[in-house]
Amino acid sequence: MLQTKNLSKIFTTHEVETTALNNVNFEVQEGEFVAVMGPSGCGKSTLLHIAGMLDNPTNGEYYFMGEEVSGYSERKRARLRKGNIGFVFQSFNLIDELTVFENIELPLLYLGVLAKDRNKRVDDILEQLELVPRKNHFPQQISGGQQQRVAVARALIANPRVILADEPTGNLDSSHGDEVMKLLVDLNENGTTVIMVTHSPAYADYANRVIHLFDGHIVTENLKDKYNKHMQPLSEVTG
Amino acid sequence: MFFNYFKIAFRNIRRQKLYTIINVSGLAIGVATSILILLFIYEELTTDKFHKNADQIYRVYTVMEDNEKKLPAALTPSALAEALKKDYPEVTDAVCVARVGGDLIQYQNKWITAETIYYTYSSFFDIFSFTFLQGSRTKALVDPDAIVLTESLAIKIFKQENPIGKRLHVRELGELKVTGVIKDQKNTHLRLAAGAILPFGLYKKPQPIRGPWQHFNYTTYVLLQKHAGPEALNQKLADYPKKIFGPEVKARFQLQPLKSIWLHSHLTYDFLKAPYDIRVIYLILTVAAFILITARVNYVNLTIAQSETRIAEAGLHKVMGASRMQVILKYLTEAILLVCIALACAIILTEILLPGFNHLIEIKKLDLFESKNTVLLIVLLTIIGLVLVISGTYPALFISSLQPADIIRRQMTANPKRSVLRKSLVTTQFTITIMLMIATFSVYTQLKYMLTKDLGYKQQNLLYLPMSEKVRQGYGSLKENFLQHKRISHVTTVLNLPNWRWPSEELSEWEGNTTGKKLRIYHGSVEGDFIDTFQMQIVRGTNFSQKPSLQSGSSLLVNEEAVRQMGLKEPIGKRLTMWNHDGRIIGVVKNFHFNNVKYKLDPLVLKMDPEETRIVVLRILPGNVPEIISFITDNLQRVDPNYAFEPEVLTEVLNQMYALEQKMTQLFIYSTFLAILISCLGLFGLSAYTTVKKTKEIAIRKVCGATTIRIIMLLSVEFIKLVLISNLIAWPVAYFALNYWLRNYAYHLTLTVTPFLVSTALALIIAILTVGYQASKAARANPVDALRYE
Repeated sequence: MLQTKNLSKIFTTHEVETTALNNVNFEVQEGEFVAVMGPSGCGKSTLLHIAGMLDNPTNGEYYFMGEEVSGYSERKRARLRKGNIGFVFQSFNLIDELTVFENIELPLLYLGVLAKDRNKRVDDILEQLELVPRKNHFPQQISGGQQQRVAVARALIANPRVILADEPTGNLDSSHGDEVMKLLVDLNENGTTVIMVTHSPAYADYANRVIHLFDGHIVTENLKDKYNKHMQPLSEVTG
Repeated sequence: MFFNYFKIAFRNIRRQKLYTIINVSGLAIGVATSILILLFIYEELTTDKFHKNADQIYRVYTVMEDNEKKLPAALTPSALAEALKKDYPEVTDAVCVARVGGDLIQYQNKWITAETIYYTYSSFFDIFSFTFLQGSRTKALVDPDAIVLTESLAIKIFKQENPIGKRLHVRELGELKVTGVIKDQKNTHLRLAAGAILPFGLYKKPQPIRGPWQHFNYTTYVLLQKHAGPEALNQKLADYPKKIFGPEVKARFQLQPLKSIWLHSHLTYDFLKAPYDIRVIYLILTVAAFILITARVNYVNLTIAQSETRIAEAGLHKVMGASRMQVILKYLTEAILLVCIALACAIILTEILLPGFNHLIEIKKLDLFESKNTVLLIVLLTIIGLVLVISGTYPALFISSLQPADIIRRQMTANPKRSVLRKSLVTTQFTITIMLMIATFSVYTQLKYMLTKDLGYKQQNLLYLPMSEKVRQGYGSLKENFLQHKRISHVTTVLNLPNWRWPSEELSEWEGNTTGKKLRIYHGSVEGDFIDTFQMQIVRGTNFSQKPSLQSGSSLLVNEEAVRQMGLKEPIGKRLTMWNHDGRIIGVVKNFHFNNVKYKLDPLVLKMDPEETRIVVLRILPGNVPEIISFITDNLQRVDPNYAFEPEVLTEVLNQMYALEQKMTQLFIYSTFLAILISCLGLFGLSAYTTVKKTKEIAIRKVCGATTIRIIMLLSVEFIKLVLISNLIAWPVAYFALNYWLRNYAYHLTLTVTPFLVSTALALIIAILTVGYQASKAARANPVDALRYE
């Protein structure tokens, strides 16, 4: 479903070049739950952004559902993103001026879904995520866990084929974090591909494959049975 | 500490280049325009105030009373000045002045134009405080062949030479001796630039000569005793004409303060008042205020907008131990620095724009660094600077009032009050811009209407030239020669060109006037070919006969308006008698405009009297005009070797009548352009700020699937709404203002919806382009750029 070949990303600021990704090759099959781990600044989020077509690589190829998209303009990428990819961010990224309901509704609005259908789908998901009492609240009026649930709901609402989650539990306490992880696992079980960046080995454990990044390289890949809970400690991977 | 504030302020200003450029350029343009306009207005309002006795000098005017109508005219008889001096002890001094337009002066075989010539007496220099650079104030006009020159005319004629005692040849007056040179004084209603002052004895009185009390053709000035108010004298003067002309005369003399002449004169036949009046000055002042408001709105809006992005910074300063006053001072230093930079730029810009502005206003040459203007400039800049700094204080006060904990916890949400303030400021700005646009379109359309209105004759292809005495004597053969040229179709002579109000008289004696009705009728003397040359239309009766001797003096043509006002059903053959006219109506000419089309058509009687005419008018066929002009000039030189005029085109002199409207159109075009420019700058800055503030929101929306177009719409719609609201306010205000202005015109366009729609469309396009640029830049950016550092 997703494939990168020799993918590199270099950021240039004030004549200083920083290599965020260096010749990364990886592939994600439809229906997989992949966790991406690694220390801060190793390129996890960059990989996720490129995978989600929020950014273009500097070099290399990137195939999204068989289409080579690395050189696409923002307009083309936006068209491809729409309806196919859902994003969940560590800092939730909700729009402060919109209510919970309106935040969730946003992707449907841009897909041109009719108001009646929109309302029904948002109501359904609000119920599913137990957010009905909060539907008319603004983001700053609800807790962090609730905000992240709203962000997940927004990512799910258009039934995307891939969910990209960038440290979705990073800003949450453990009980709220568990809640969000349970949501992602449920989604994956229902056939949605999930790629999640995380610092937490415990949450990475929910995935059926873990990719370790270090200094822009993939250093190890642990393909594991979904029910096999044994995992190499992170320190051993990164040395 | 202050140096520290200054350093930080300077760094901040430099760091925020876009805001600084927009703020400084908007303010500089606005302030520079206001300085220029205020300099002009200050100059206008101080006209004639330099005379030592300005408060005691009055001009005498005559109020003619016809039926119920009163006609106040700026002209008086020549004998009035002396009589007033004799009869009223409160009149310390009085002088009679006759003014003629330009004339030619010859020195060492070179003709030079004097733009104005005054004929007057020595007491002229006692009453008015003109400075003598050379010659004696008391003796300058004593000799009958004296001539006093203004400084600029003296330089034009003599260059470096000393003019005193030199002899000049003035056209048709002969040799005169220069007895004085006065300093150029631009700030007076007696427009003396490049002019000359001659003894009154040299003035050629109009034909036929009447007594010194009969000809109302002169201006009389009086100097009153220090504490003599004008009211008492005004009462006495009201009955003075009865004393002179007899009890049946319905006229009064009245006094007009010297300082009111330039801008406040309501008199007719007033050739000395400004070509505009105080209302135009108010209008210009309003425009200046509008531009300044527009510029200030930018400044306030951008400062408030910018302050919101710096709340966290202020919080940190407070956490580090800064007091509220220190935070206020920090932001205030920045405001003061920015305003100082803007004002310095404004002064430079004013100096750059001044020559162009002087060219635009034409009448006066302004100088920014003149001593009296320097004070005005300092006062002006201080006031503007203070207003701006105070405007900049609001964000400083607001930021400093926040609790650091609130800022750190980031519990600051957008303050709806500030956003309402910002929105209403943008709305004000666009309301002003749209009103100016509507006014510009309408004034321009009215001007075009006046310039192209059917005048009742064909004004194109007419040339005119003033007659010299020799040309008048040789006119018969000259006309024959002219007509031999195949491209000259008609030649005639007239007393006046149709560009001013011809002399008017009271008419009460006409056959068929049984009710004793009186009317004021304009009159003019013409030669036989007048109607054909101007291609006017005779609607009843016949034209003047081609042979002058047959009908001269006894046959009259009247216009349709005269027939209507006289109430004649059968005008042809009716006898009509008034001063200088006694004859029968032989024909009725279709109404034609013999003055500015802003005045209504008045009754007119034309007499065929070539002796009284003074201008030759030729109708030419289109084509090689320079060749025709050189043919005409050759023929004139043969008759009068000293003849120095070139034939001129009539349409040009007609268009000069609309100088005020043309200047107003220019003024509006420039002001509108500036208002649009400043508003655009403001909108650009504000939309840049909004876009920056919404960067994260835009990125989130894009991640959720928003297209570029949707993002552009999202960012533009708020501003477009404001522009539409501005229209709602601007339309009615502009409609009423323009209707009020158009009431000055007897013939004017009815206001259509077009200028309103065009202005709205333009404002919208400008707003969309300005905001759209920022919005599309934001919409096309990679969303990850905004989210990466979350």
